Amino acid sequence: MLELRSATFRYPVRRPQRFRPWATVLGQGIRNIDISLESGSVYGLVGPNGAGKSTLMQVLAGLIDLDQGEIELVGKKSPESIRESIGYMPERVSWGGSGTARHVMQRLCSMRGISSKSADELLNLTGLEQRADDEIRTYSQGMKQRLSLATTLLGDPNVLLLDEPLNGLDSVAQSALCILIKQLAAKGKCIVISSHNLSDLEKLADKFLLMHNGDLVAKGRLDEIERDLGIKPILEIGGVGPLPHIENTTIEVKEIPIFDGEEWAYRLHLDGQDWSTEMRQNLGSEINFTRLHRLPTRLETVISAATGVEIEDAGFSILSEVDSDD
Amino acid sequence: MIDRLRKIISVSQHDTMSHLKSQRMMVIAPLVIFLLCASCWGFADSRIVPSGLIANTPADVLFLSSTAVVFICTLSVVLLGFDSISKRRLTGELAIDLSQPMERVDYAFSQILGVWLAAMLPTSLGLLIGIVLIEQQMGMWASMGDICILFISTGLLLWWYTSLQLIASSLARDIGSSVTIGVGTWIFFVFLWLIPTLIAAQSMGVDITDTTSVTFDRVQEKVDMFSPNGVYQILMETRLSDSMKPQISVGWLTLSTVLWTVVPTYLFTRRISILRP
Repeated sequence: MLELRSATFRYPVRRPQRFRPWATVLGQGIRNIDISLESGSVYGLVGPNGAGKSTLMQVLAGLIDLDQGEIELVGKKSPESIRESIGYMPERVSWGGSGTARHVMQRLCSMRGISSKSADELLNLTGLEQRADDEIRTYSQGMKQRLSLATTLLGDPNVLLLDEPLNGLDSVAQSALCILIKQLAAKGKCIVISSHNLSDLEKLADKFLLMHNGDLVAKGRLDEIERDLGIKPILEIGGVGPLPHIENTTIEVKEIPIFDGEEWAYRLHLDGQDWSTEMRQNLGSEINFTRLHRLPTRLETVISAATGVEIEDAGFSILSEVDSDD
Repeated sequence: MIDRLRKIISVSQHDTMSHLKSQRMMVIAPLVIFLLCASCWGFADSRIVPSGLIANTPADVLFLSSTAVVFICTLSVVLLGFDSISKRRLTGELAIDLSQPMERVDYAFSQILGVWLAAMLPTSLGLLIGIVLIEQQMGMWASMGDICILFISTGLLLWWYTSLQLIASSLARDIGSSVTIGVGTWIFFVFLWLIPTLIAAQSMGVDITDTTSVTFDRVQEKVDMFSPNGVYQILMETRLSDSMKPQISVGWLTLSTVLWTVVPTYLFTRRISILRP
């Protein structure tokens, strides 16, 4: 549906010098990105801070002219025609001023050249109908976020680009948005979500685009990326009675806190192997397990594996994203 | 083409309405209307016109009242437009605007039109009431030619200031810079323009201690071609009696008017075309 070929863009960053206060250097941007986004899919765009996620979103939204490469949406190549089929929700829009939500929506309808009836429908869909004629400055952060979402859906675009859509929403509104995103994807929309809330993104996205230093380092379903990157599956076991014969195994083992009713608990890094009868035999056939489950791979682990930077060593470049997950 | 024009007008109407309903308009509009009416009323009263100023006809009064336009109406453009782009850019609204399927050049025109119309409405109202007040004072109406020149010149002056203001707003990264650039430009053209005039006159060997001399007037007219206020004043002078008419050629005046209209407008549309939200 939406294709990006060899997309490269580097933006100037102001770096004042003593005698050249206007001096700039070229920033990170994005480099040689090739992606093909399919309709009906929800893509999670993740990566450490400064990886190029927002730049990529702006490129997809037709806000930035590429230095190299091209963007194509079902045969359309000009920015105006591409923007007709795209709805872009930037991160944290601080709506303000004396305008009302209805006024904002009607103005954007004029820009899209569509009837203002759809504005009312979307205000209704996002639950703003009752407050549509109130000044936006009186809105809560969540209501402003819902207004941003409503503006994104104007004109029924085929591609939705949502930058941190869950920010500021309460848990009920978050759930409603997640349901809406799933419904839109089921209708054949292509949705790209950039979010720091990795746990929520794991629930929402079918596929992931992992960025680091302006490069697209991995793409695809999470299990595909895990396999490609050789990420070790992790198993948590707990039990009562005799301890497992950990010394009989070659796998990496770490003791973890026990739950009520447990006498011991361990985390096993399976090193690419699957949990097997043979492995259980090695731990001891008489073992009485109270807990035995595979941990879902956390996105920060994937990011760390894809970027080649250990989370412990990465400092804020990765940890800032990991922290917000907790 | 008609679709594009319709979009431009529609968006500018929305923006004009926003400006008209804004809190700052509650202060600007009464001030503009009051000052324009007061100056028309005052300059039309021969008893209170300062000595040295000639106000025998409605055209003379409108010319003198244009000083109020230069001071307060241009300031109203500055106050309405200083954050038109910069605020939207800071809040993220500009990114939403620019992601819509509207050509950026069209968007730029809609922004100019939005601010210009909002400034033009109270100004026009003030001038219309002023024309009526002049008739009340002098017992004669301004001619249609005088009124046309007044409105066209005032419209152009506000357009030039709007373009300059929006360029400043699109360059500024924060509201503070936006105010500083906008007000700075206004102060330069309104209050400090005499300095480049004096420098030019001095360098041409004209006696700058006598600013009422004919030679100084000729130099001033030439230097004024580089200032929006100067061009406006000279356009207004074209309706005065022969002895008061500007000596600069119509060609230069027309060229200057066209350039002041085209260049800032082009620069702003160019700026919006390459702007990263």
